[in-house]
Amino acid sequence: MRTSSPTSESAPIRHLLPVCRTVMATGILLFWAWYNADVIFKTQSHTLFLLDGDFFRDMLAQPAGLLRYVSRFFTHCGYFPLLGGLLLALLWLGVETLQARALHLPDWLRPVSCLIPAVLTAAQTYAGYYIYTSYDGSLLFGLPLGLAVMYTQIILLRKLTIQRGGLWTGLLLTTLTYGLAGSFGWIGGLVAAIYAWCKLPARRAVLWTAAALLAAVVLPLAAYRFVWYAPLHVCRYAPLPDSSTPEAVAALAVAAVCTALLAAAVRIKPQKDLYRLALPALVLGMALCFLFSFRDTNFRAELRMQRLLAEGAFDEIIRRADRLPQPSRAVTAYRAIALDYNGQLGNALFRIPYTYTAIPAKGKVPAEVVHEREFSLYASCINNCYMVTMTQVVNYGLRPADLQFYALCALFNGEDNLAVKNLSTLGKTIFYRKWAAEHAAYLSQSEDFLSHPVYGRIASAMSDENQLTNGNANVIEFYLRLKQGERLLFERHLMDCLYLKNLDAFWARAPRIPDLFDEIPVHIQEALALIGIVDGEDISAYHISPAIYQRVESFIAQTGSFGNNFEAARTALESTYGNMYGYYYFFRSLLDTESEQPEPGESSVN
Amino acid sequence: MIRRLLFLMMTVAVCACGKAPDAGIPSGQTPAIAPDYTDVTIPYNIAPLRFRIMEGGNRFQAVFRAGGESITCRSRSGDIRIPRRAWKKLLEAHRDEDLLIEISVKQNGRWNVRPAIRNHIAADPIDTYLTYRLLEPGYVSYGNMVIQERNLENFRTRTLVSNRRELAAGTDCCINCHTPRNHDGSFTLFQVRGPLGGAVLSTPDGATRLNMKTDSTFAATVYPAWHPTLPRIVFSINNIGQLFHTADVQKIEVFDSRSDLVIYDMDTKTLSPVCRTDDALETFPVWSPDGKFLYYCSAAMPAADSTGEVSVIRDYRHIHYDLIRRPYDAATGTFGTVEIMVRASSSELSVTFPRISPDGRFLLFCLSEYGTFSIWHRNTDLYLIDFETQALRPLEKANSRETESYHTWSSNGRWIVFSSRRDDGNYTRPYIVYMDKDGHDHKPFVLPQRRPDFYDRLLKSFNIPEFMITPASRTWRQYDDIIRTPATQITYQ
Repeated sequence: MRTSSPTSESAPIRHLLPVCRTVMATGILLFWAWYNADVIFKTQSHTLFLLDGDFFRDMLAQPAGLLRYVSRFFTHCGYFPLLGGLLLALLWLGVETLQARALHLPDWLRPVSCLIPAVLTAAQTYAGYYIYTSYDGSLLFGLPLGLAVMYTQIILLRKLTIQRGGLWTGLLLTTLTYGLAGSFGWIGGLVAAIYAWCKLPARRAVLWTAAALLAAVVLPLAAYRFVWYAPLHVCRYAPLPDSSTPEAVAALAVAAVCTALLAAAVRIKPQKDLYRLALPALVLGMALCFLFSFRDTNFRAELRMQRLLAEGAFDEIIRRADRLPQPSRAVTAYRAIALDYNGQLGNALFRIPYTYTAIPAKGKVPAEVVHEREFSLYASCINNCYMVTMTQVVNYGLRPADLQFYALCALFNGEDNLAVKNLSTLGKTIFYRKWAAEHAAYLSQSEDFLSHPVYGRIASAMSDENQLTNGNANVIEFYLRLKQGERLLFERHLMDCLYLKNLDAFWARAPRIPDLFDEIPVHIQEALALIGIVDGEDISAYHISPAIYQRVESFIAQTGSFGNNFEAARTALESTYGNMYGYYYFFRSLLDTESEQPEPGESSVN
Repeated sequence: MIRRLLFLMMTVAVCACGKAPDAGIPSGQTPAIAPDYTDVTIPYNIAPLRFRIMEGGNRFQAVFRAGGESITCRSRSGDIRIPRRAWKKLLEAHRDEDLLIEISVKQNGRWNVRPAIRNHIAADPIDTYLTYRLLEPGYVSYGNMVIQERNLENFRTRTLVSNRRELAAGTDCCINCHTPRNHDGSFTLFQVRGPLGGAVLSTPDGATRLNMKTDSTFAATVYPAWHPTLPRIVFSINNIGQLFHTADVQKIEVFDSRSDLVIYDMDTKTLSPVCRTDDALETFPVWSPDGKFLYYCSAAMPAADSTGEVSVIRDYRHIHYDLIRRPYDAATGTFGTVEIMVRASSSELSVTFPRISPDGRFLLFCLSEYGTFSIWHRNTDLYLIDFETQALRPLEKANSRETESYHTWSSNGRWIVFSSRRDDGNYTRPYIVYMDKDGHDHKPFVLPQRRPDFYDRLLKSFNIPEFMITPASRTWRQYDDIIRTPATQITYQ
């Protein structure tokens, strides 16, 4: 194999590399600081991190605990865009430098190999978020860190154990990295085994493979069986569910056979360095993933809107949604939320494309958006327990966001002792101190709390009628609607009735409309006109714009002119009346399918 | 160089200690400390009562004085972490004496001496070990719960059973009710739910997992009661449901839609019925210390509505449990006629979790407004029956405005541990209370922990605390192996 040491680099490469490194590090820093703020916000739901010795010791008691501690700490740094960018740039520089010094790659491979640390850091951005499964917030930094550890391990194993020999060094290294990086060490051991197959004669390669597998698999198993149960916790991150079950042992055997087969296949061409094949492929895959996520405007808009929703910038959400040529369901759901908060849902639900289809059937509020924030809050508060969050905590670990949730629930339920406990813990975190201090003023359901734009609204919507429930969202939603004491909720409730085509319920609640609206929202006017024209109900008590009334009248008349030709009517009237409730009522179904369409001319009240 | 360093270190050390407070006249009120270890009676073998002084100040000092001896602890943060050996020596030397805690706080450069806190060191020891389950108080998910054993003489804790997926073959399982026989750690039992479900029974002869669900029983066994001398265990069999209140001071409602009692013979590995009724719900069995009586709780099933439907969900507030006992003939293995000990249903109240003191004189139980799962009813309190005087009374000092539930007597009958939500209304904590020979309770104190703020940070509940005089004879690995081994199927007679 043709290799070159750093000292024997050709002149262009020698001069180019520092420049490349600097440019790349600066690029990472700027990218993070400038562009990645929404991802930062999204991943604020990282696992709890406290800055005290007890917490540190508790973390150390777990395998991979140091890595997880460091990861969580770095994740906090991500809250400061410049600091996060700086850390990532340093990470990239460190791995790249180590690689350059240890691997002695041929000149032609140098530019490509520079990308590998970049890929590691790219895992931090949108690509990382694509991979990130909301399992554990610390993975945000844990993923690139773990990959970096794995990569470093491969390099060191190659350098120390294969080139210079030393079985025990290899075992020690693998065990140490396993302890630090969990399953990344395990994967690293396998890769090292493959590498050994590529580089060594057959007999020695077998030995090295056995040693690497021993280090990567058997030692952690031994630790589990004979030392302490916790190491197996890292198997959560590993491809195997549980290394101590027969299934896992079988899976290990399969993995070993596959490894051997792969190595044998590679050995057919012993001159080929696996690095030349595998690593560029890795780079390519990650880069494609990154580019794909980067080009997804709806994805980026969704991240941004989530932040804006929390900030209460409803107008900005609507503005951004309007700018998107083809907003996704999630983005439109954010828009619906914003419209609802602004009291414009009644004017926009059937006017803005996709808005009503973004709202799921059964009239729920857009679940995929609200689930994480508002809806969960409703659910927990009204349900008077911590079910939603508790489930997440049990399964995924406690995050500050969960603690916030606990604290809010306690505030809503008037459980001051509990709220103080949760706020106290939040006060010990780095980034929630201010929040905790602010919310301490809301104890005893103070005036500030009840006048808060969001909390006050939820507090007013809380049910005072007790019933046993299994926590089903529909039940909670029902109670939310039942409490119609506030205009916005009432409007949402009316919108739900329209959306569900439940005009009986709508008409039953209509008498409250004049009292609650100075100007009746457009779609409610349209629905009232529809009821008045088709059913002959008396709608004189409602102030309906003559233009709207005439438009509905005209729509009904034109619909009737098509007779039973449903498809023709739908197509012909869409451009003129597609943004009207009547069109939705007759020609669109709840799930936007054609199976539930009522026939034109059919009684509008069913 | 080394000398200079040593000198520097000594200088720093002297500066850090600062000047001790002058012996002044105590002024002000008794200082607030957390946890509340004031006016309590403690066993002489308890771990140090570490606490935090809840006052502002730059320096803090606590002097623990008993007889002529004392321990002095200083702190900058207000956390008083008493050294374990000195504490142990002090308490053992001064049994049945008062323990004074003199607290001084340095504020604005001046030491203020507070009136002393007076506690009492009981001459009666507490059982050395306490087992309990740690879990989130939601019962919706049970992916991360453990049964632990705590040495009460120090802070050592070890995990006996964990249900982490890694330890249970990747399956979800619930673990509960770790129960020893006669406070003996070599005879223990706990239940596992899920794919690896069963009762894990551990005795000096071995350990096994028993599949307690048979074709003749409608559910697996739940609440156990070891017979004090015979190899027999009475279990309740419960169909348990759980729902949540939408707007109520209670959060969760747990109820039995059906429950019976069975007895398990460890020799023949068979289950036999004790109570098998369709019109009543029987649960919470417990033996008298001599094994001659079986106590349990029983409630009538709700009345059917006009359509003939019986619904415990609809009528959950009208289900009231009475305290029942039945004599047991060990020779024939038969139970006698039912005797109602406390007819709580006539007062529209409900008795749960009866426990009898080791000397057989007192019976302690939970009393709540309705239902079976009093641990989630905020008005639940502990009540005591004195069999000598036939008096029934609440534990005046132990009860609080929040839930008190799941209590256990120590082997000498002088201590009780119970779960209480008094701290925040949500998380149960183990409180220990001294019971004198006449059955009068003293002020309870929370189980001391290594860190004074332990309970502030722990977002899990302590559940089902049980005293043991010896440690559990098996480790978590052995229990884990037992859980994984195929279960022994029990037969029903």
